[in-house]
Amino acid sequence: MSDTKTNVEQLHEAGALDKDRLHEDHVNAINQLSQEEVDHLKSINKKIQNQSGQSVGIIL
Amino acid sequence: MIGKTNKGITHFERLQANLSFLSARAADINNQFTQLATHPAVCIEHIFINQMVARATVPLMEEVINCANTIDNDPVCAPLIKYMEKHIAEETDHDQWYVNDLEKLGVSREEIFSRIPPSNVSALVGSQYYLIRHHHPIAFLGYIACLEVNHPTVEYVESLIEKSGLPAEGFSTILEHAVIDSQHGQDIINTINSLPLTEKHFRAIEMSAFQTYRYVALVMEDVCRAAPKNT
Repeated sequence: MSDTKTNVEQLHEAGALDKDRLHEDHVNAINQLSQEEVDHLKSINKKIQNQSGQSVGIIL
Repeated sequence: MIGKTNKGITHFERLQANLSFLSARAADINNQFTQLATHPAVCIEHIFINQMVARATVPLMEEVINCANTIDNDPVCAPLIKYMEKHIAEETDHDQWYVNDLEKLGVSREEIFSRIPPSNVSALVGSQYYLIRHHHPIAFLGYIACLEVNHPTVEYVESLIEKSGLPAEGFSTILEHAVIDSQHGQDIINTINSLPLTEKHFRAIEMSAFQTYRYVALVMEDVCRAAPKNT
């Protein structure tokens, strides 16, 4: 069941990241994301390669 | 080679690669915002929130300088201070520009400064104060990199104006940033790549960028909630 897995495990299985390349700070930060954030990351995974550099809405 | 990691990529390329999954989430939420820009209330809320963030930009950079000046024997501090001094001059009064825009959209100064910022705005900006003061001021470069590299284009802002039906004068600050952030974005990339970063410095920048992308996405989700309930 997915709800027993950590965020890192869920995102690794969805192909959003490679858990073997993460250091401890990454793991801790990712595991603090909410389930809602993780579900969104999993759902947009297929679009990720095309989105780098796009506006994020907050502008300095 | 200066600016290259031991894997042959620049510090910024490494940062971008490690956080691509989170920047994609922030961009995806921004796409949702763009679709909702037909609702004037959503666009006004977007500018309102940007004013709240912008009012903290110069004070954050001043804090970076104050904290960097207290650190001895760290070769990143002198170039960090130099960059901040230049960038403070570039960012000064941008929060006031947003106030002027909001007034043109019917939001008074009193409304702007009496509203308590949403918790996600406090988290976005407040987490930077913590990292700067209690970890290392170099972290702030992660915040700037996220917000100035991923800037809107002129065409994008013009599409927001058209969709919203609001007066173009209310978007002058965002439009100006679509122009100037192209250079500011390259400046922060060059700065990060030119610094003699240790692994500790890099991770501070990386975790700052992680939090920035995370909270920006949450802030923009809040902006989207300004749309009428039946949309």
